[in-house]
Amino acid sequence: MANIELNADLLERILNEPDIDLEEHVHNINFNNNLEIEEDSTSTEPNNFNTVDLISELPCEIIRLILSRFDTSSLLTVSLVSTLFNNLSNDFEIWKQKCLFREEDHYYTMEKTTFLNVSESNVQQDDKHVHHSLLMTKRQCRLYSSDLEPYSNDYKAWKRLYFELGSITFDNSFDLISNAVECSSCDDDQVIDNTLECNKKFWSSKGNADSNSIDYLVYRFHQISVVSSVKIHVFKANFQAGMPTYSPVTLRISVGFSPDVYHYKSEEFTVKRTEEAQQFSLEPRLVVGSYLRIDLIGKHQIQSNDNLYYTVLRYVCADGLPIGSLDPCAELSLSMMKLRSKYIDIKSDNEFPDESSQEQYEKSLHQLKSQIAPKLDKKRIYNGIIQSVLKDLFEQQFSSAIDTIFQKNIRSPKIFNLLLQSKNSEALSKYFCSLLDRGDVFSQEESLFFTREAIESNNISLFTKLFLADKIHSSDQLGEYLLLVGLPIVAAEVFSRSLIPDKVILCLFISGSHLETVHLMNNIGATHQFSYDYLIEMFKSYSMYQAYLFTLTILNNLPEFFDLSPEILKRSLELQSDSIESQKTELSALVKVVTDYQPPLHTHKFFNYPPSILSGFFQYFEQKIKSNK
Amino acid sequence: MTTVKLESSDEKTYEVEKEIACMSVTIKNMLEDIGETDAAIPLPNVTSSILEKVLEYCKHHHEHPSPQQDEKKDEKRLDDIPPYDRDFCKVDQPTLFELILAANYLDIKPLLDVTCKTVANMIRGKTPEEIRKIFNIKNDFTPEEEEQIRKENEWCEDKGN
Repeated sequence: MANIELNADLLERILNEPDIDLEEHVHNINFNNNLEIEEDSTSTEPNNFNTVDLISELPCEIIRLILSRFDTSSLLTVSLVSTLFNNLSNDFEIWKQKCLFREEDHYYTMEKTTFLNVSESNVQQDDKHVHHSLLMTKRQCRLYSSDLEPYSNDYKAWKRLYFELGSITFDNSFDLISNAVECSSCDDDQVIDNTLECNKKFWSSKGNADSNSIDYLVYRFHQISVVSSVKIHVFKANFQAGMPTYSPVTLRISVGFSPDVYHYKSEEFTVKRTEEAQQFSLEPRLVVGSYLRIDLIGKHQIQSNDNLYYTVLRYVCADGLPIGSLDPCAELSLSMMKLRSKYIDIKSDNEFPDESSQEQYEKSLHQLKSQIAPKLDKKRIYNGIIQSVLKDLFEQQFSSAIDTIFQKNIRSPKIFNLLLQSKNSEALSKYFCSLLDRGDVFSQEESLFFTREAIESNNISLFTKLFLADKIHSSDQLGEYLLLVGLPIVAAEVFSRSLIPDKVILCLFISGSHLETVHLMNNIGATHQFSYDYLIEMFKSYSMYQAYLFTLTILNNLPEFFDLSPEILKRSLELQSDSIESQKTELSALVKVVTDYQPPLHTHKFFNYPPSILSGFFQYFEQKIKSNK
Repeated sequence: MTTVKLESSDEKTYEVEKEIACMSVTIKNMLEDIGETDAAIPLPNVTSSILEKVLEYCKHHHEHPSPQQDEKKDEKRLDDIPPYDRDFCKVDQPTLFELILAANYLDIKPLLDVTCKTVANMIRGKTPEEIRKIFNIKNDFTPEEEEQIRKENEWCEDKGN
């Protein structure tokens, strides 16, 4: 008795300890409870309590109620207690509840994913676990629909299904789409097939006067699949004035087994007005089907030449797992086939004729597996190569890592990103040396990184060399960067190569090259796209002085170009005089007065150049130039 | 203040506030069925000692209503038993199980919840052997059966979750 009290006292003290962790806390409470119970039992019912198994006498539904509160590992432990507990711990009601999708589970999974993202950004820590999570994001799947149930009838089927659902990982998962089926409308030759490859081609809806109009796209998967997310790239028309992005307002994802019937419809996702990739995730719901329909709801953007609304997409891809890759999830695969048979008229189904028996199901599954096997092998090989590159990077075997990348031809934004995250000077320099030796054109990401490093370490001549040799990828981002560091003429060239006339004009304008700007616009016949009003509003936000100077240049050199009237000039530049000639005089005077309106060039001067992470590469490059001479 | 009379299985009668008695859905339904009455409501499945404990619990929670919480979220958590309830459940096993049965019969969800949680906490984190010892459960497996279950569990753990 005394002993027990002492223990209880001790526990009391531990419980009052402020910084005790929750897990331990709970544990202590349990312990405490047990003590109390034993204590009571000795005093009240000594004979009865120590020998009789009361808990097994409880009605089954109450034991089930107790067990339903357990996490999976406790349930597995309990199964080893006795036959009764084993049977009840396999109870399908318990596992069915665990299989079903519930909103609060969604909340917990989201938390988990966020955590993984955090660790991704801290990859410089020399930690292999972190690295692992970069490639493998394991997420739990749950059935969104009670339609989807185990194929087998035995009482452990739900338990098997539960564990199979938990074993699904979407690491490096598949692009599910095999072909486009139909679309609500398309503009000339801008067909839906253009969205299958991630390139410059795009699909465009027909123009519509109604901004609330809905368009849709339908795709077919290689085979029945679990869909985890859908990714889209909205098209940004850089070649049009104002660089409009033709995104829909929202979208809804539907998944079904035929192009006409969709058993899953997602909520409406808001679509951002950006050309960056946007991903819409269906996890942790286990969404299953062989057809994908994307409803594009509402339109933001009017095309200026016809005043109609359009939705334009450059790329659509669906991520997930084909049924043939779900091996060894036998229960899940079969239950997916069973769900399909609910929605497809089996008799008219020429894909898998008569699959009513399990034998037939399994035969079909076998076919599906061999259909997908070559792709899976490819994926496995690719993953193996990536793993070996990662291993080399961690073991500081940079030459070996870089050699593998080029020999196995796996250069990609993802690989480059891995190198960047390693923040290792030797690895990055070695990588760029290999690019240079091979004479490869730098990718968009590589170009941007190289340019930054070259300019910020006073190696601009090296940049110029590669740029003139056409080894640098011109992009909107690169142009923006060059403009920011005070190189508007180079930026103009980059924008011109990337076909972004808006920004070419802006760069020339900022550089003060008004005559060139005017000639350029004359050459591309840009009057219908770039009205004087549009341009002058854009320019005024940069510099009033340059806006005056630009107008003066037009009036002196190409007076008929914009068909300018004294009224327009008076309004847009707030001039006093009423005729073109006197306005010229007024502008000349203004230009002299308003000299303090210098163009706000972001002349970023790097007075003390920090050593670049690419310094090894720059040295190599300079030596190479010298030896060539 | 309206009161009702309740009669335990050992024929003891208790007069309680109607509102407190109606925390039991079973009693509430009975009262709705028979209407106003002076006769004691018989509860043949509940002994007087357990009925007293149950009424004590109902009275406390009637006087100290707990703030409405997000029920869904709390259901699965085992570590959030309020102090009064925790103390209330510090009883010997026979009493605890009788309370569970009474809560189940009388349909008092919060009491059923907290008593089941208490039993769950006694099981959680223990080895099968420890669980058998706590509840005097007999190991009725043959060695082959036990091996079979172990194998199945390994398969599950392999899948992870």
